[in-house]
Amino acid sequence: MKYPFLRFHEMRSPWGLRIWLLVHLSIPVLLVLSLFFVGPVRINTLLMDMLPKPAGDSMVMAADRVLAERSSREAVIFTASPDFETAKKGAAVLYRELKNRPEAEILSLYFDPAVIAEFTEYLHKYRFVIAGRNTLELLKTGNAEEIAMDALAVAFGAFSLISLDNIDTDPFLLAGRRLEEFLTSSLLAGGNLSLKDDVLAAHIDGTWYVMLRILFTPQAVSIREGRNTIGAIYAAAAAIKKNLPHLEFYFSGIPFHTYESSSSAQREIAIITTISFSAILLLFIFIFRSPIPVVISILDIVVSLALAAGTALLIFREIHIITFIFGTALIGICVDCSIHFFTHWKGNVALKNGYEIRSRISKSMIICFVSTGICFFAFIFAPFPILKQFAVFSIAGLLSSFLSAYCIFPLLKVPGDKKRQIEILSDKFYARINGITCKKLSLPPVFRYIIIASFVIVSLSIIFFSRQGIRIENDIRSLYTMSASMQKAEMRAAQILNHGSPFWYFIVSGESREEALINEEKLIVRLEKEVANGNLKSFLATSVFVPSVSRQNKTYEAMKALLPLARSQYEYLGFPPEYAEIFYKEFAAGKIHCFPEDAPSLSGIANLWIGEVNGIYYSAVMPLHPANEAIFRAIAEEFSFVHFINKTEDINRDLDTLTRTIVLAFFAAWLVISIMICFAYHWRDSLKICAVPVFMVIAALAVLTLNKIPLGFFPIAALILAFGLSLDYVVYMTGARHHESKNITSLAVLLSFLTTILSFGALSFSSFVPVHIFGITVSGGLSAAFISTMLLHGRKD
Amino acid sequence: MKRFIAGLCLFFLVAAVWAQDDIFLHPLKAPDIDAFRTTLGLLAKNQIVRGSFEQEKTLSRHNRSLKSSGNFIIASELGMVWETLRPFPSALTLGRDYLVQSRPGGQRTVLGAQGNETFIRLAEVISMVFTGNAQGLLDNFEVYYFGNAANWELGLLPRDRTIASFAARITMKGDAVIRSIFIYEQNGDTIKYVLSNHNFPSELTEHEISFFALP
Repeated sequence: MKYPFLRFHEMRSPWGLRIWLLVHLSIPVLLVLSLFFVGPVRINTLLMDMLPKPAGDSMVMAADRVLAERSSREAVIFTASPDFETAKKGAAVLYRELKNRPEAEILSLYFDPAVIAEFTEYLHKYRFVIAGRNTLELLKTGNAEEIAMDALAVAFGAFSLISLDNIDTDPFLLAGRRLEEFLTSSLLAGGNLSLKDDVLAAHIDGTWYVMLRILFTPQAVSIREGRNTIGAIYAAAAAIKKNLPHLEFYFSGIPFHTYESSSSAQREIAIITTISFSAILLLFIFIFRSPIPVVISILDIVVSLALAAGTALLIFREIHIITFIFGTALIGICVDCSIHFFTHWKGNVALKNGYEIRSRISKSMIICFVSTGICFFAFIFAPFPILKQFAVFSIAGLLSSFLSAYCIFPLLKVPGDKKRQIEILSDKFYARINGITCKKLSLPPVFRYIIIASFVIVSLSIIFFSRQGIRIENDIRSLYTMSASMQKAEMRAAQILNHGSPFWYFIVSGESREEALINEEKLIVRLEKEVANGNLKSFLATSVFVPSVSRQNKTYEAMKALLPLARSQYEYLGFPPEYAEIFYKEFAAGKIHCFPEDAPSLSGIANLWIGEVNGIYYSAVMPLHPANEAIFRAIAEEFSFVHFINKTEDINRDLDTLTRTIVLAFFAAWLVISIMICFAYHWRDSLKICAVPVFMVIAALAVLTLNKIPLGFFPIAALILAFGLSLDYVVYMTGARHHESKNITSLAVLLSFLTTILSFGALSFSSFVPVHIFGITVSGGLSAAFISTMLLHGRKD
Repeated sequence: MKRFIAGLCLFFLVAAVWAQDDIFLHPLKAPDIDAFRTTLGLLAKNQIVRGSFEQEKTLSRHNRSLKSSGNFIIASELGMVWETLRPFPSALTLGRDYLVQSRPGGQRTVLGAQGNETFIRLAEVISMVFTGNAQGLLDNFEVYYFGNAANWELGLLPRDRTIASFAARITMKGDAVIRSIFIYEQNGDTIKYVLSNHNFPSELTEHEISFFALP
C-alpha cells in the first residue's frame, strides 16, 4: 500500500519507525495493563496536594497527614439573614437537601436536647473517673465538702442550669459539674456561636448566622464526585435564595476551595489550549500555506500530549489538575521540532528529501532535546508533586515530539521545487508589507552590540534600584489566591467561629494509647502555665474530654473522699438512707474507663485524636488565641514526645534552603554546559551561546523585580526551564551559521519563539500563582534570549 | 368499686391538669393587648424591685420536691439577683451579658457572654418577664393572657427550642407585681416561685450592688 505523503520505500533504516512505535505503543499498553494490576488512575483536584510535604519526622508527618486528610474534608456553611427565622429556614432546607446524599459522612445542623443528653449520659456514665482540675483539687486537698455544698446550692438555688434528672444516683452532681467545664471547653462553645432554637447561631452586626457543618466522605472530595457534591450544594443554595429573599450563604472549607480551583483550572486549561492551538494553527497556515505541515504538527502535538499524560499517569497514578495547566506549555515547546523540520521542508530546495533535512538539523535538534530534557529532569527532584508530574509530563511529550520529528517526519515526501518557497522569506513579501528590502532589516554589528549593551544596562539598573526586593523568599500561602467571594466567606467564617486557632499546633505521640494520653496531659500541664501567664487563652485536647486511664484511676481514688458524705447528702436532698447504699454499690462498680472512641460525637474528639499510625499513637493539641509562636516552639522542645507542627513555616524554610541550593546548582549547570559547548563549538560561537543564558537571567530578574515577585522556588525553577529553552535558539542559529539556509533557520527560531511565548505568555494570565510566576518568568527570559540571539546571530544574509 | 375509685382518681387528675393548663386556653388576642401592656407597664414601673421568694422544685422522676427561700432583687438597669438563704445559701446574678454563680464559701463563677450565649439568653428571657418587656415577650414567646391589670395570669410558650428545652411552659400570676411563677420543664419537673414582701427602693445598697460586681 502506498501512502501519498509517506515514503516507506525510501526508508534508510527501519529502526526509526520501530523506536517510535515502541515508545508510542508501549506507554499506552503499560498504562492499560497497570489499570488491571496496579489500580485506577485519577485526576487529582485536591488543593492541598499541590503543596510539598514538610520535612521532619516521617512518622509524625504520616500522623499529621491523617489529621490533614480529615480536615480537608470538613466544610462549614453559614446562612445569613437579618432575620433569624430566615437564616434558620435556609439552613434547614439545605440540610434536608443534603442529609440523604451519600457524600455527606456527617451533616449537623440541629443541636437539640438529644445532643446535650448524649453529653450528659457520657458524663454520668463516667462520673467517677472523669473530673475537672478544680474538682480534683478540692478532692485532693480534703475539701470534698465543698463539692457536696456546691451540689446542694445548685439543687436548692434558683434557676439551676444543671439538670437534676440523675440526682438520685449522682447526689454530688458530678456530671453536671463536669458538663459546665465541658461545654465551655468543647468545640460546641467556640467563638461567637451559641445554641438558639436548636441550631448553632451567631448574631453579629445585625445579621443572624446559622451554621451547618459537613464532613464529606473521602470519595466525595475527588474530582468527579466532588464536582457533583459541591455543585449540588451551590445549586441547592441558589434555589433556596430564590425563595428566601435577603438570605445569603457563606461557604467555608477546603472542599469549596478545591472545587473552585479545579473549576477554574479546567476553565484555564480549555482557554489556554484553545488559544495556543488556534494561534499555532493560524501561524502555520500563514507561514507554510500548505495543509501538510499544519495537520502533521497538530497531530504531533496531540500525540505528544497524549503520551505525556499517559506516562505521567503510568508513573504517578494521578495527575494534579494544575499539572495540566503547566502542561499546556508543552504545546508551544513540542511544536519546535516540527517548525525546524517544516521550514526546511517547505523553504530549503537544497535539501532534496526528509533525510537530508534531518541530517541538517539533527545536531541542533539533539542538543536542544537533551538540554531542554535536562532542565525538565531537574524538576523531578523538586518537592512539589505538581512539578514532578510536570517534569515527567514534559519529558515524555518532548520525547514523543522529538521521535516524531526524527523518525517519522523524514518519511514525508517533500513538495516539488516550485512549491518549496516560504513567502515570508521573499523580498516580494517584505516589499508588499513594508516597502522595504531584506537588506534594510540588517543592522551593522556596532548597533547590535549597542542594543545588547543598552538592554543589559537597563535590566541591571532595574535590578540595582530594586535590589532591596531581591531576596530568596518562599511563602506557600501566596501560591493560592482565593476569589473575592471565597475570601469574603472565609473572613466571615473566621469572624463567626473566632476560634483563634493559629496555623500551628502540637502532635503528641506515645507507644500506646495510654502513653499518648499521659504525654498529652504532661503537655497540658505546661500549657496551663502559659494560660496563667497570659500567653494562651485556651486549648483543645483529647485528654480534656478523655483522660488517660492512669488519671481516671487517680480520679476514682480521689472520689472516695465523697463516700463519707453520701448519707448526709441524700438526707439533705430528701432521699431515704437506702439511696446511699445504692450509691456505694454504684461507686464500687463505677471504675469503668472511657476511651476516645466513647466520647460524644460532637465533642470534637474526632478532630484531635489521630489514633494509631504505623504502630505509634498520636493526638493533636490545638492552641486557641496563642500570643507568640516562639514560646510554644520552645515548649515542644522540652518534651521528646511533643512535635510542633507549623507546616507553612516548615515548608517555607525548607523551600528557602532548597531554592538557595538550586541557585548554586544552576550556576554549576551553566558552567558545565558552557564547558561542553566550548568543546563542541568554535570559541566565538561558544561565547555567544554562553552569553545568551546570562542575558536571559538578567532580563528575567528584572521582570521579576518589576512585578515585585521574590526569588522563590517557582521563579528559580522557571529560570532553569527558560535556560533550557533559550539555549535552543542560539544552538539552532549557531548550527545554521555556516549554511546558506540561515534565513530558514532564523524563521524557524522566530516561529519557535512565537509558539513558545504564546504558550508561556498564556500561562502568565493564569489565576494560579505558581503557573502565573512560571509564565511571566519564562516569557521574560525567553524574550530576552530570543532578542539577544537574533542580535548576536540574526543578520540577514 | 375499685374501678369507681380509679375513675375518680383519673377525673381529679385530669381536672388538675385542666386547671393547670387553663391559661393556655387564652391566647393573647387583640382585645386583651391593652390590658396585657398595662400589666407589663405596671411591672416595669419601678426601676428596682426587692422582695422575698419561696421556691419549690418538684422532681417528677424522683417524686421529691426541694424547697428553699431567699431574697430577690430586680434592677432594670443591672439585671437580677436570686439569693437563696435557706436551706443552703447561694446566689445567682443574671447580668446584661454575664451570669455569676456565688456558692457557699464565697466562691463565685462567672459565665461570660462568649460561649455561654444560651445561658445568657435564658437569663435575658427571665429578665423580660420581670421587667415587663412586652415586645421582648411577644418576640420570644407565644403569649397567653387572662384577666386584667389588677389580677392577671400570664402563660408563655418559648418560641426558641433551646429555651424550651429548659422551660417548656411558664405561667405567672400577679397584680401590680408578680406573685407567683411556675416553670414547667421538658422532663416533667416544675419550679414554683411565690414572691412576697415586694418593696421598691430608689437605689440599691452597697451589699446589693456587690452582687453585680464581676470577681
